[in-house]
Order: sequence, then structure tokens, then C-alpha cells
Amino acid sequence: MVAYTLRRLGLMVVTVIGVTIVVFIAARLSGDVTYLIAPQDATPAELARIRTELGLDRPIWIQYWRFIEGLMSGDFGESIRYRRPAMELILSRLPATVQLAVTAFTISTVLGIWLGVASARRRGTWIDDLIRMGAVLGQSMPNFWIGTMAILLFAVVLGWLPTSGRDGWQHLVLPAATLGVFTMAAIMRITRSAMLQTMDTEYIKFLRVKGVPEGTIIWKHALRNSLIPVLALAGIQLGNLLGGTVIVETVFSWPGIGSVMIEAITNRDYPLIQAGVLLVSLLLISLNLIIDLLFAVIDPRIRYD
Amino acid sequence: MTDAAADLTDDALLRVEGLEVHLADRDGLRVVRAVNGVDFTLARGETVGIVGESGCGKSMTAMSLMRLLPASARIVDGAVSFAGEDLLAKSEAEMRRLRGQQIAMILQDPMVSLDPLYRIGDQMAEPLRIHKSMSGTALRSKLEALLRAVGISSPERRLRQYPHQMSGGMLQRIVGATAMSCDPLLLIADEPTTALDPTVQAQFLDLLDELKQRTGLSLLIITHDFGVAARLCDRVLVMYAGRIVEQAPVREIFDNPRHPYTQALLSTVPGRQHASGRRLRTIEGQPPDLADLPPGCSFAARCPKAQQRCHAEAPPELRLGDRHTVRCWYAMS
Repeated sequence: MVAYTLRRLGLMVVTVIGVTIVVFIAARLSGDVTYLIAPQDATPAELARIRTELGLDRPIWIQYWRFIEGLMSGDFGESIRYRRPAMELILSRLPATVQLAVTAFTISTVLGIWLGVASARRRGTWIDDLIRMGAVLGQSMPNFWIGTMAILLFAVVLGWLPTSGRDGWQHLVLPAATLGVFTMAAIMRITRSAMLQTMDTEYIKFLRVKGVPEGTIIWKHALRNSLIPVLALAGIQLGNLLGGTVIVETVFSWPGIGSVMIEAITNRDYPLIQAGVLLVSLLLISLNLIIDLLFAVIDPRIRYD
Repeated sequence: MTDAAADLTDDALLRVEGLEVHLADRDGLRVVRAVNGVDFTLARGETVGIVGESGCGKSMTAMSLMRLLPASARIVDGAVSFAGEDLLAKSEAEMRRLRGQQIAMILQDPMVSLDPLYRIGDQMAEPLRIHKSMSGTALRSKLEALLRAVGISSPERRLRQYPHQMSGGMLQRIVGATAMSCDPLLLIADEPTTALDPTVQAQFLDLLDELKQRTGLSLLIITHDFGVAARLCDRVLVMYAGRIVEQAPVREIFDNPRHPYTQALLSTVPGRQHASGRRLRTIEGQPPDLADLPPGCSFAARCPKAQQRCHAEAPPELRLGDRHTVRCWYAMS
């Protein structure tokens, strides 16, 4: 287990270095920021002055090195547009996004697993058909449409929940539900198929032969044995949720990281893009580490490998 | 042969009468007659083997006794009484209390019979916790005793290990010990040695024999291997296409097989009748389609002795002495 953890940590360091390179290059591929900040009739001399000011006149590897140097001392650079530390801007918006994504993730994973198990246990019945049909719908309806319809029904017609903004828990319900629908459907489907495979094994038969109650067989043995693919998918989905809140944040005017990032990209605000992407990546990499460690907790064969 | 086998009619632990199991096939249109009117008894302390090729209904018969058939299968007719109780009338909850406690079972492949994610100790403990409400040190010492009884040394260490850390032979001993943990009256062993190495097979058969002698339990062995039957059984039932075509004490089956199918099966046993170096014999042809059984004897199409009558009329059960029966028109001659 110690060796396994160390190996994962080593891989994590390599991934982080890779992310810094990709982010750094991708930000600059969006175009030259100089033309966006300079006045339209700027002379070549003025453009050159702006480049020097931003350090963009140096060779690319020097720029990268200064970026890394900054990271080492916790300096993510200053937003070109807002003239404020990039990390500060990101951090002011990140909690809202994390709150939204984590709420959506938790609810959709728990419900998705529960529905998947229910569906597998009742394979071939109308309940199974109903749940599977719901999953297909959930995976085929786009976020913005679900969000708009949810606002229409629950906020406008029924008046149960607020339409937008971020205030109490009531404000969280609709955006989190909208964001979680796809994930819930995906988790449900993979849980169902993994459970069906597990339920067909000899060790489940032997548990029945021992007289173990059905509830124990399902929740203690079959579900745990089906959890590896579910968890792997959940990890990917969590990444999609964190990075993909933009649309839902727009529909519900949720003050998250999404609108800041879109703005940063259109403004070619390199430091802001770098800080945002890097932070979300770090979050994802840490979550993936946790999931890798959970694999080992679930399955002794991974632990003893 | 044990003494118990002699008085099987008086002291039947298990009595199966006219058991019929139907399977719905994939499109649900055809009915597959997996078990087609099976009768037999099993006395206390007796060991009976059900022998036949794969697909003949022997495992279906065994799973019917446990009431653990696959979802597509249904018991449509017949009666099963166990220790004087009607098993087919019991609720699922009552059956569950019986399983692992009074009727135990071991499956074909020990390598996949245990949950890979839990320790041996946890899995062996389940029937004792559930049926006997055992826990703590009493449970622990019982588990250690069970492992020692099946010849596993340093049980404390083994109980903490996971299935993937053990060999097939050892896992089969553990499965056997788990099955025996609640002192069942009946142990059903479905192809208990098929998945094991030949040397380990012999050891495990010895172990089953020893358990049987020590506890006096009844043993129902499902096998396609006459060698296993010869080693352990008092009596043998030969199954073909969902029916018992011949039953007799084990010596009688070997010395005086009357059904052409039994004779054919016996001639496929290596080392019998044939000089070594010759190829193993197989039985020509395929078993009949269980969804479309012929009107006559179901073995007729493969039978070297078949006459016209065999194809037209199903043979009744003939009694050849008080413990030997056969379903064949020409077994008398």
C-alpha cells in the first residue's frame, strides 16, 4: 500500500509539470494579447513597449521559466486586464463553482448508484425499463435546456425555488440538479451493468448457498465488487462537472469560475487563464489520486500487487 | 457401502418425486425441459452420485433442491421433501434459513467461489453468524477448528488472508470447511473436483470421504466423472436429457450396466477396458434438443441397439432387482 501510494504521488508530480507546460503554451496559442490592449492606431514602437512591459519580448523558454519561478513562490502573475493578482481573482470565484460541482456530484453519484442497483435487481421488469428510459433521457437532454425548463417549472410556474443567484441552499437546488442529471444517468448505467455482471458470478451463488440474506449479498458483496468501474467513471465525471459548469452558471447566473474563465480566454489574459486552469487541474489531479487510493481500499488485489 | 444405504426406503432424508424444471429459452417461445420427471431418494448417511454429460439436467436438479434456480427456470411439477418437510412449499425466508445450515453446497470452481474482496475469515464466518448467531472468540476458535479439520495449518494466518493469496486446492478445502460449518444434514457437491489438479483431486475426495465418515452426513455428488462416483458413492443415478435412465448401487453399475448410455459412458472412462495408449472413446452424436424431445427414448438417436419401438415409445422404468432400475426397452434381454 505504501509503495502504491508513493508510485501514485510520483505520477502526480509528473502530471502537474505536464499541465504547466500545456497551460502555458495553450494560453499563448489563443493569440497575441498586445493587439487587444493597445489602441487601434498604435505604432509598432508602442506595441513593442507593451510587449516589453509584459515580458513577452523574451524567448518563450525564459517566459516559461519565470512562470515556474513565480509558481514556486506562490506567485501566479497579475491579470493583464484587471491588474490584480490572478490567483486572487480565481479564488474569489472558485468556492461557488466547487460548491455547485460537489453538490451535483454527491447527489448524482449516490442516486445514480442506488438507481443502478435497483435497476439491476429488477432486471427485465417495468421498473428497470423506466429507470433505463430515464437514463437515456438524462444523457440526451442538453444542460441549458434542462436548466431553462427547470426554471420555468419550479421557479416561474410553481414558485418553489429562486430563478437565479447564489444566496441560501434554495439557490443551489436547481443548478445542482441540472448539472447532475447527466452524471447521474451515466453512473446509473455503469452501476447497472457492473452489478449484472457481478450478480452472475460463482461467489454470489456461493453466498446464496450459505444462506446469506439478499440485502447483505447486494450491498456488502455485489456492490463493492461492482464499484471499481463506477468509481473510475465518477472521477472522470467530477472533472467534467468542475470544468463544465460554465453553461449552468450562465443559465442560473451562478457567480462561479466559468464566466471569469470565458472572459479571460477572450481577453487573452494569459496569467488569469494559467491560474484558473492550473487550479482546476490541481484539484482534479488530487481527486484522481484519492480515487486511485480508494481502488486500493476497495480491492485487496490492487493493494497487494 | 455404508449400512445406512441398506435401509434407504425407511430412512430417506431427501425424497424427490416427479421433479420437472422448465427453462424459458432466449426468445421465450420454446420451453426447454431441463429436468423431466426425476425421482430419487437419499438416505441419512448415504452418498449418491448423479452422473451424466453436461446439459443433462444434473446441476438443475441440484439447484432445484436449494431452490436457487436461474431466473429463467421454474419448477413446474413434482415434490421435494427434506427431513420430512416439503421444500417446494417453503417461503424464500424459510429456504434461506435452511441453506448453509441444513443443506450445504460446494460449487465447481473454488478459485471463483469466494468473494475476492473479503478475508477468508469473514467469508467463513457468515453462515455461523447468520445461522448460529456466533461471534467473538467463540466464532474465532470455531473457524480455526474448522480449518484444522480440513488439514490447513496455521489457521490464524489463513483466516486473515484473501482468496487470491491461496491455491485452488486450499480454497476448495476452505469452501468445504465453510459448507460443513453449521453441521448440515445434506451436502451437495457440484463437480467438486473438476477444476482441481489431479493430485489435489484425490486429496479432496479423501477429505470428503473423511468428513462423511466422521459426521454421518448425506452427500449428493453431481459429476460427469465415473471415477469420482466410484471413489465415494454408495449409489449412482445416471441422467440423460433430463431423466434418470438408470440407477443402481455403485458396484452394480460398474459390473452390470444395463442402459446402453451407461455402458457407453463407462467405456469412455480412461483405463477401463482399453489398453493404455489408445484414444479416449467418446459417444457418437449429440444429446437431443431439450425443447423438442423425441416421442420415444431420448437416447434412441445415439443408441447402437435402438429398434423401431425405441423411436416411437418412451420406455417405462424397469425394475431389475430391488435396487436397480433402468429406462430401456431392451435392458431385460
